[in-house]
Amino acid sequence: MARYLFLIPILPFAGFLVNGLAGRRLPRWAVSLVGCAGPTAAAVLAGLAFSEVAAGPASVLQASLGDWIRAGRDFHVPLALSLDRLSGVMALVVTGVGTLIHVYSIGYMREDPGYARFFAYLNLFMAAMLVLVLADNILLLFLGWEGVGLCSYLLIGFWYKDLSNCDAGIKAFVVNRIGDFGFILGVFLIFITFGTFELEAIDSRAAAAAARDPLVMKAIALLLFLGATGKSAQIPLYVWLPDAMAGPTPVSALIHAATMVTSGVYLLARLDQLFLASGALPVVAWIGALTALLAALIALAQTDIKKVLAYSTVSQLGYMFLACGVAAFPVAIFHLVTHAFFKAVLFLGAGAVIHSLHHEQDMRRMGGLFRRIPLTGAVFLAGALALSGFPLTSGFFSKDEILHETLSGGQGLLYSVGLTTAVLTAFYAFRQFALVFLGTYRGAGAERGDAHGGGHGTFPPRSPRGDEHTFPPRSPRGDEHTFPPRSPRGDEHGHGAHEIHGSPPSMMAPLAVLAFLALCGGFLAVPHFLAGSGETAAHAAAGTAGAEGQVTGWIVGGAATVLGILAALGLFVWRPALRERIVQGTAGGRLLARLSLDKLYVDELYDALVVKPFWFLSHVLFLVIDRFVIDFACVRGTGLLARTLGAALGRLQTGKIPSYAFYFVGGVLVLMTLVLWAAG
Amino acid sequence: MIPHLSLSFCLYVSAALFAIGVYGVLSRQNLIVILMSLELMLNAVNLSTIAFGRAFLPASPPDPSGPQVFVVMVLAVAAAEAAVGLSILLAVFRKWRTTHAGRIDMLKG
Amino acid sequence: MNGLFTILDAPAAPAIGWDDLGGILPVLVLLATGSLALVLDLFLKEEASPPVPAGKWPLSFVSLLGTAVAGALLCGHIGAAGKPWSGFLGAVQVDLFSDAIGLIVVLGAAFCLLGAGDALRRRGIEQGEFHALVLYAAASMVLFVQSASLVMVFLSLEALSMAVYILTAFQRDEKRAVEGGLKYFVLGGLSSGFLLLGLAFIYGATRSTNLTDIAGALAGGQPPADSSLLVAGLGLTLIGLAFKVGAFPFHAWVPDAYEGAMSVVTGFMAVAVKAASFGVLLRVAVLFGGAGASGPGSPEARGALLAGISGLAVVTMIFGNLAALAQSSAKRMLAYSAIAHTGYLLVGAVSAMEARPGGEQAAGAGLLFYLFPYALMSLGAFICLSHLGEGAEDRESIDSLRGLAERHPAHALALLVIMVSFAGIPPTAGFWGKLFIFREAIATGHWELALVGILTSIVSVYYYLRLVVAMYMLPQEGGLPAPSLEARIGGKLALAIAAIAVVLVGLFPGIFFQISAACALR
Repeated sequence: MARYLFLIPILPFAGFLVNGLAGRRLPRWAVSLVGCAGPTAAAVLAGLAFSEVAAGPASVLQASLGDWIRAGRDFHVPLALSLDRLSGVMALVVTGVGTLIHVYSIGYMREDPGYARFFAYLNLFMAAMLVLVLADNILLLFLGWEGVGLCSYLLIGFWYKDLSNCDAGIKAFVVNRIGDFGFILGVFLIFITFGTFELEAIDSRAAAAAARDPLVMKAIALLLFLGATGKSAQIPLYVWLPDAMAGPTPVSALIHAATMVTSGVYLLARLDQLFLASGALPVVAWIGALTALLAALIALAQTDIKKVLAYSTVSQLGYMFLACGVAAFPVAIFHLVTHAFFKAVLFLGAGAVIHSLHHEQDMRRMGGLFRRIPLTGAVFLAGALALSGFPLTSGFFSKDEILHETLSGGQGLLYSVGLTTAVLTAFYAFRQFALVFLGTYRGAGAERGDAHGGGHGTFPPRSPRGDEHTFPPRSPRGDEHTFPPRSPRGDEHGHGAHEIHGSPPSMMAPLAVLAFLALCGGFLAVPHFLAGSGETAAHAAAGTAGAEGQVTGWIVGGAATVLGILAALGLFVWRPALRERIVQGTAGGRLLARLSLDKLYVDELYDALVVKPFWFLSHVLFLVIDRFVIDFACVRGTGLLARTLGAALGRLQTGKIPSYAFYFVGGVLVLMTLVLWAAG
Repeated sequence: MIPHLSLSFCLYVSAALFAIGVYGVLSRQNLIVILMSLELMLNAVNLSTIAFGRAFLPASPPDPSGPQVFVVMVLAVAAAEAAVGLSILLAVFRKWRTTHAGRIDMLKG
Repeated sequence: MNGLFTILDAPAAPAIGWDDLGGILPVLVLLATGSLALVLDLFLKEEASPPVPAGKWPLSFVSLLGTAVAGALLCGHIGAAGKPWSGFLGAVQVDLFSDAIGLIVVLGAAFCLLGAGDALRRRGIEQGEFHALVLYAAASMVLFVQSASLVMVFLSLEALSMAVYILTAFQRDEKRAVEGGLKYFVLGGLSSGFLLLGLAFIYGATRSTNLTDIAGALAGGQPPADSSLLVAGLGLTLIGLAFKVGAFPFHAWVPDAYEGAMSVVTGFMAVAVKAASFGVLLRVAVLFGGAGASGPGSPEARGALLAGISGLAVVTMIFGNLAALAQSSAKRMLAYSAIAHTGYLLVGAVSAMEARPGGEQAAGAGLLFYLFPYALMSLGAFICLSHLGEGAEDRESIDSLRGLAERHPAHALALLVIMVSFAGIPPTAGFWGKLFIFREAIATGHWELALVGILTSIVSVYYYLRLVVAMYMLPQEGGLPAPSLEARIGGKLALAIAAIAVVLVGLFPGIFFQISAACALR
């Protein structure tokens, strides 16, 4: 099987080549076939390879294509892949969820003119992600890391004709660059310290190196973690992910929820010994926990159906880093897997809603959809339950293990942050479910047809966003979002613009599979399976010791979830008046709603602290360095000098044979003098 | 065998001929004369080669024929060069209507 | 009578036999194919109507087949890691190094022939002589790097030069072509004279015409009979070779001949002539000036060659890059860039002289590595230029490339890749080539050469990217007609292979570097 390991990334890449080069000339069915065949075949191969690895306790599949880069005696990087249990689980998630999302995209993107381009990008992403996951050395991993970043950028700006989408792409790119800078520095330090790029070797030598030079190890760990915060959207670099929702929804599901953004977690789990030895884990834990809390707070009041999910992704990634931070790496991967399932369901479900409503994304114009599109509703409900951690769903087990590990690691404060976040998670998940699927429909069709007046008055039509109108300075932004001039894309559909329709089977089938996984995926014993690979055996032993504590944890976690769900349903379905009173009547409620809606002003903070000073600085530098030093002194100066010199040299080239002969003979005299002089 | 035809004498003659050839290439404008000067340079070198060969003759196994073969080959090359040179010159004259080296200067800069 | 023929009637005289011919089989294949092309042309009729779609395709087919066979033979020899072989009474020496250089020469010939169909047909001069001359030139170049005797060096150099003089002026009803050919010929004759003088001096100083014998005697501790004569001879030989590779101040023919010749021929010159001459230059430099296993054979010769080549490298890099800045013709700019690249390759030759036999560094691995991407880039670039023509004209000003990206995106993309590689920007092959050469230079203590190289490379980015800017960012000029493009499958194939190979070598440099290290001089 090891022999075929390279096929796993190569097959999707072949799909990328075919669709990328010839896609525009192929018929739609051929594009779909080519686009889905690569990931499917890769999934089958990954499954086969995984079953082989899973059979033995510590077997690893390795394949090498010889040297990738060789320079000198000690710098050589092999082109090698390896698949052990950890990367096997990741490869399964990537190919499995990836394949389902490819199938989903057949329906979702059906009417898009960039159909082939979309599949080409998705395939390229799959290939890069698989390289990232299967890489044997950190340089190859970095190749995949940058590859997925590129695809992410391309896909965020997929509808590039809308300038704001391009801006979102650029924001993602730039923010990730900051993280990658740390990553590269970390890689340099790794090579200096260990003299190798091989992940296994680095990991196994980390403890010894930490004993020798703790400071360098801490630096390596923190630099790599900086890279991880960029890719996995953690404080302080999470700001790009919500904007990344500008991409098509399958992209949000695949790249910005299920796979790519989790690669930071994978990096930490891959180099778990390094992080354990480095002593940087408390930083990881705190960053993770704070990100989880912060993002959950912001998610509370978002009105865009995808933005809620985006912040929820940031928050859940925070949970994963929290798990890494308390050294429970297998648990982090467990949550990564379940999160891939339920977040994919939620995104694809949201996509189905958006699709049904003709690209309507504002939840204030939804409601009561459960009756219209019950299948989508049921699936979404499954996802929301899993996200909230409702007992016996997948999210319940994984989230609970994280909390349990945190508590048993003696981190009471972190535990309470995590638990609070769990309540908030359940709350925003069901607030979203209630806004979209329960109550009455408040969309464009509703205004024309039924319940025109009722929609506004009785039911919370625009949730906290509606409150903006009470604050005068905010009104310009609020006005942009008033009802009529909405959704230019939706209007393009002309006649059927306001008709709510179901989604095709190519969209619903993957959704059903994923919904099943989201509900039952918790029974996969991922942590114990990973721990069995030997890497973290000691830790797994410690985990089983506190089994009776786990039951208590289950009860507490389940209670927190139910509390959050009941609160959400209570405020948004049963007692909307109470919600109004809290939000508008009490100062605390008002403040919370404002803060949450405006994303805790982090963007503004960055703007004031980073972007504006940076603009200022760069403007000054532009004037001083660019205009004066570079333009005037260097470019004009040296450029002029160089070109004058060049032109002068060109004038030597008279075109006349006698002068050329003179140069030649002159050259002979000079060179012979030099040569004879040098010979002494 | 003429006793006073020493190696250094031959080399001086050869050097003089070579220098005349180089001077010809540098100073003359007529392409045909330049061509002749080039041939002169080659033959000047032939003279030194054969002079070296003769000087080494008493003690020059393994391959006494070396310089002689060399000279024969160079003569052949010189003949071929003259042929190629003259045909290029002919093509030049046909298009440019001149054999003045300094006037053929469309390519420059 | 076992010998094919004997030189002397003396009974003990060594004979030249069938073995000798077998050893130079690739050369013979090239020669035979060339002759076949000449004969074949007699049987091919000119079509009556001018737009002949296929033209004289059998000519191209046969000659390409010949290069393919020769290339396969050379590859086979490299693949089998063949032992050094010496034949023709020691006049010819075949080793992996000569195979590798020969392979680049054959590559150049093949690309030239692939692209030549369009260029010749457009000018109405599709004649078998062209193919024959390219193949003869290639055969002479392979012999040139294989030559181990002073006689062979001169003979094969003259043979290749004459074929290339004629190729330069092949389009003989075009003023610029014959002018380029004439300049190349006259200056080439001048440099041949100096080279021959140098060879005669080497013979006079060492009393032998066999390079291997001379080097063996030097390495064995026998000082040359006349040390300063040897140094003078080496200096003059260096001048002759420096002329062929186009090093400043012996470069004057390069821009004019490159501009005058058809672009496909220019590509062939820039690649094959330069590769073969660098092969001999490197061999001479390492034989006479190498560090040697136990010190250099002749310290004077070593000092002289080091100083000479380093000096040439510095001035060539500076001159080539500065002069390229001021050009407005893309072809002429590339000609000066070829001079600049000669400078970089000379740096590689200097570090090759520092390598000790049996040491960790193979002599000239960096130079050999860079020759391959350099060949691909030059061939691709000149073939691309040859497509941008109308009638008998190549349109080669940089402004004429404006708007190419919109009209011919594939060509623009290929040229973009090649320019990026020329400029040495990763992840292209050119980046690794420069990296390896400069790294070798620093490792052998010639950091000042590396510094000049890096600084001038930075300058070079400007003029390479000017082409890119013209293609991608500038609107087409009002007065100028749209960039037209005429290319059939052969030329497009050649360009595509070149561009893709540049990227592939850039992505997987390791394999190629290992091959270069294995083929470097021992």
